[in-house]
Amino acid sequence: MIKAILVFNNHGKPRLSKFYQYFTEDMQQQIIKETFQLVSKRDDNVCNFLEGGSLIGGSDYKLIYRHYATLYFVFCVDSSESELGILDLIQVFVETLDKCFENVCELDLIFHVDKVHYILNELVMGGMVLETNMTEILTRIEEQNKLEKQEDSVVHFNASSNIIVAGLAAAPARAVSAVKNMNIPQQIKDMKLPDLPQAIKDLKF
Amino acid sequence: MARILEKTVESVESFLSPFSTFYGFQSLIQKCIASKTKKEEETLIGGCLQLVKSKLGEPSPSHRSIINCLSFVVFADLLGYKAPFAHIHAVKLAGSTSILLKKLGYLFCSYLLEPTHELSLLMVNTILRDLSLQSSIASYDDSQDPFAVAAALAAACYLIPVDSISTILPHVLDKLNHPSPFVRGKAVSALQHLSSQLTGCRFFHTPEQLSSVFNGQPSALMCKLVTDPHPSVVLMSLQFVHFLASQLQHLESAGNVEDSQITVKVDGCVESEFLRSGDEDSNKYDASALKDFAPALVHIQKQILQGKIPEEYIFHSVPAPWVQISILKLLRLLKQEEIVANEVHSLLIETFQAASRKSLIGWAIVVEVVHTAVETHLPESSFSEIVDVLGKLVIDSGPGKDSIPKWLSSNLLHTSLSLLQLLGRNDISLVNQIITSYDLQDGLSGSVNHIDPSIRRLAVGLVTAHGSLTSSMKGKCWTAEKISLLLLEECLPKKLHPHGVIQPVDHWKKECLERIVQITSTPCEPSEGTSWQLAVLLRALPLAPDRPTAIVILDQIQRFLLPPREGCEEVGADNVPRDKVLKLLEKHCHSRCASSYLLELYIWVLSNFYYLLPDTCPLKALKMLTHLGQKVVFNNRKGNLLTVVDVLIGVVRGVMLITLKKLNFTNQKEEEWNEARELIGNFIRSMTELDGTPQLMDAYSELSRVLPHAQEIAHAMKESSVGEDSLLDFTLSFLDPYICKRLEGGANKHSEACQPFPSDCYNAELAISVRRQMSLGLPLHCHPWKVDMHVPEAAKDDFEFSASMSLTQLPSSCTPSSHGTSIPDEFLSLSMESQPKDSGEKDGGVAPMSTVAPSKIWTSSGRTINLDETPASYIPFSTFSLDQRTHLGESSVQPDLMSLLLHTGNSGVALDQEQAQPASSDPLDVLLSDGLHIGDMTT
Repeated sequence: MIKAILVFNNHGKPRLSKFYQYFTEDMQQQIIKETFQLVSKRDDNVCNFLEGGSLIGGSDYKLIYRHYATLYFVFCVDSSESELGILDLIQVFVETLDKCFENVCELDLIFHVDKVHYILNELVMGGMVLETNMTEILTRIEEQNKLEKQEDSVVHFNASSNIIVAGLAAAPARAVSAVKNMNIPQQIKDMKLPDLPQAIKDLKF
Repeated sequence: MARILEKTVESVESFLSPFSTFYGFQSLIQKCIASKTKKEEETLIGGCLQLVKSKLGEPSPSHRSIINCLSFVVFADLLGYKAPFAHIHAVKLAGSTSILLKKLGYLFCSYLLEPTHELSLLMVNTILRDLSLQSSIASYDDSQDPFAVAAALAAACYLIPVDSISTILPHVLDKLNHPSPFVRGKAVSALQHLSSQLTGCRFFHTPEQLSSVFNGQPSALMCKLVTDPHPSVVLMSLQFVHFLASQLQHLESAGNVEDSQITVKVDGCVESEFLRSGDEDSNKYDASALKDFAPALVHIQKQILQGKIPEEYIFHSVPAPWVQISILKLLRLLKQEEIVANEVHSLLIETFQAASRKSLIGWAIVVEVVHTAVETHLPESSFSEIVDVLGKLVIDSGPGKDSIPKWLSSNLLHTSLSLLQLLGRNDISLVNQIITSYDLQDGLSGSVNHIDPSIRRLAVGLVTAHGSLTSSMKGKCWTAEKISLLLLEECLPKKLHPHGVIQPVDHWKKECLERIVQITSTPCEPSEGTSWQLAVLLRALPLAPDRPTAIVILDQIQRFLLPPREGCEEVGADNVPRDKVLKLLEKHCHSRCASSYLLELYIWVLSNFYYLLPDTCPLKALKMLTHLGQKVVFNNRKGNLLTVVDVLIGVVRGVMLITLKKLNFTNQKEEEWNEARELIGNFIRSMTELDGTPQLMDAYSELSRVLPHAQEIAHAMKESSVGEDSLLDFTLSFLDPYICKRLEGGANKHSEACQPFPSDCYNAELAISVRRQMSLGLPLHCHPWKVDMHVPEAAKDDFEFSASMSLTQLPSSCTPSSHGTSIPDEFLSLSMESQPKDSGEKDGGVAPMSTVAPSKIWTSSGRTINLDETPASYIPFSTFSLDQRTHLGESSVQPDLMSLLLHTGNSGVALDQEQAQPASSDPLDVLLSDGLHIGDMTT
């Protein structure tokens, strides 16, 4: 069983974390830190398996990791899990990300957190390996993308006054159109001004 | 007007909010990532979360804005910054009608919420609605969108609290029949997760669900899942069955199957077990319930091997690798009948042969095959092919081979070595048959020096197991000496970088040193000599990470140095290695800094073999010892005395040994004796200035008590024909556990008013003869082991027994004859046995029993530390090995007390001078010329 999947960069900053066993949030942060401590000091030429940290189960669990450029992909698994199999699974995960984002980088994991989680959910669910066929995973992601595009266009169409596409440059124009839409003359008419003479009476010098 | 302006500003702000656009969101994230300090990061993310809050607080934010906001919340959560205000928006999103937004909502909820969160209840309802909407339709059709169901099932793995499982479970079971394999697979996963939340892998469901879904037979459903036409569902199902099997195995091994059955009823649902034995009334789990799966698994695996699997499931030319791995893992957990076991064995061989050796996943299958083969007891003849393949892998993936990428080679090397070790544990001859080949030895040499400590450890383990079998093998790469040296290198700090030194961890050092002792204790041919063993052990001793390890090594060295009791007439033959060791230690211990363990050894060697030094008489040896002791005391008077306590105790023992056994009192001139007494007196005085530990205080108070009677003791020992190589244990510490046991059994304590007096008359199982002419009683003939204590009637309530007191404070009124002992009338028998052997002989003399806490008694005498070790044994400088130490009360045939008091070395290994190696190649000579280069000196 897979207990946790952690991705962090060379400085130990987490970029993705998924726990399949319940830990409190503070504990999760501690586990990420401890795992980084364990993994980051290992040489690139040593094997990619090591005993789990004390917080996540010690010697009963194994940490299986790969280091790609600036990112560490760490799977924490129990003793029954195949080490080489998980190494291969990490490879499948990274390759899928790479195909999905075209040369995946650290920022893609943050900007497209939803997609990354979709991919991960297709690969592993509830700590069990769900699917290892990359083509199958990519097909499902593609189906979801299509769905997303369809719905997105509907949403875009319905909320044309809202900003979906335009950037900061279009903001003034949109502000003007919004002000136009307010129907200012009518608004002025509807204004209820206070009774001036009474107001003057109320003034105290 | 103010309202208009406010609205305008708000809308402009909203347009300008970075979360309105994806690019704005990106730029914010990049800013946060680029922050250089933690404080800067905190400020930035805090500010951004405020923006998120205001954006989400708008009356109708766009969906894109919500997604951007929640994505940022996830990012902040990952870094440890909480935003609880966003949780409700994620829940709202999950309840959306749009499938895209619903999926995103589930995703964010499963990331941000916990099952115990108060909003989880809302999520339970949402999940339930999504699952039940689908199931309300009588038959599934293609129009149903599997994405929403799959998303709900995925969320069920994270968000369902334990008390809501019973509500969700029927719907999850329902989804096992979904036409889409995508949904079925997720349903199996959700089922596994929900079942793992329950104690003892029980399922909760209504009887209707049970009958409709399982058709009254839960295992039928499992069989259906395992034989699903879609491989991905089969994979999930196999993992689920594996989970159940491992749970059952755990329950069985814990032996508390019945205890673990906790009856839980939730919301009035009828509880039922998934895995129950056939008997409906039985309340026991039956592990054999899963054994029926074995033939099905064999069948599936055969189909996979025959290529009857869709092409898209062939990965790196391995058909359905994860299904294969799951089947192999499951097969070793299931109990199999003999016929099935045979089938499994042939299947394993077939799988092993078919597994690709060119991909990582192929090797993963090989690993599983080996594990399953060992667990299912594959016939030994079938292992030879496996061992050959693994041996080849060790060679191919060793350092310096370019055929495999570096990162992969380390992993394959680690795997192959651990598998070889596993097979070696099963049958060492298997590994031995290939490990003798030069190629593999070459590969192992590389592994022993590998940069990875775990690979080094595995290689050393393999090599050691092999080395201990063939320690005397000459002409081969691996000899016991070479292996020991390799192990020794493992204990030394490693220079990996020009400025960095890595110290080996203590438990690894300990393991290596224990292996060295194990290798050196292997009997070797006399022609080989014992020089290399001594050289290795001498180098190993100062590297010991703790005292127990050091003692094991010390014992081993002492065994090599002590003369044999019988069979070796040539006393001079033993002296060659002793002489070398003494010189080596003298050279080392007279340097500015010396290892305390080596110092202890030096003291022992000096006190035993001082005569090997030129012009050294016992008095000179005594002078050297006391001088050394005073030097140690002086140097450590302000430091931590604990580090040198054992050294000082060693000096005391050495002084006592020389005083009692080596000084010839009859011929000694009076002035020389006075000089010796003065030396010892000075040494004792220097020690009394220290606040020593109880053991040290014991030792020097013993010495000071023995000193006035040294001549008598020496004389008594001479008359009792005690061997030269024997040691006296005046502490009688070996009696401690026995006495404690008796005291706990109700025996009374000792008081000053009475004197313990041994007898062989009254139920006497311990008879001690006391020589009349000695003012100090020394037990000479002691015979077996049940101690009777004698105490005056008046003082029996305050009786306390002290072993050392019995030596020094025997009643002067007692006038024992040569062997028989006359017992004064005022002494009555107090049996330490709860039932006196012959109660009729003496009646009324048994003191009243009282429960006494042993610690209370022993704290004053300073023996509390010994009592912690059960059974107690006299550790420092015992002349026999650990397994020969005396344990009281364990054996029915107890050794003679005299032999315990006068320990005799009888297990030394003979060193034959004629057969010793030439001086030029003697490792001890090499060591003598090079010196002991030890990094961690303690004294």
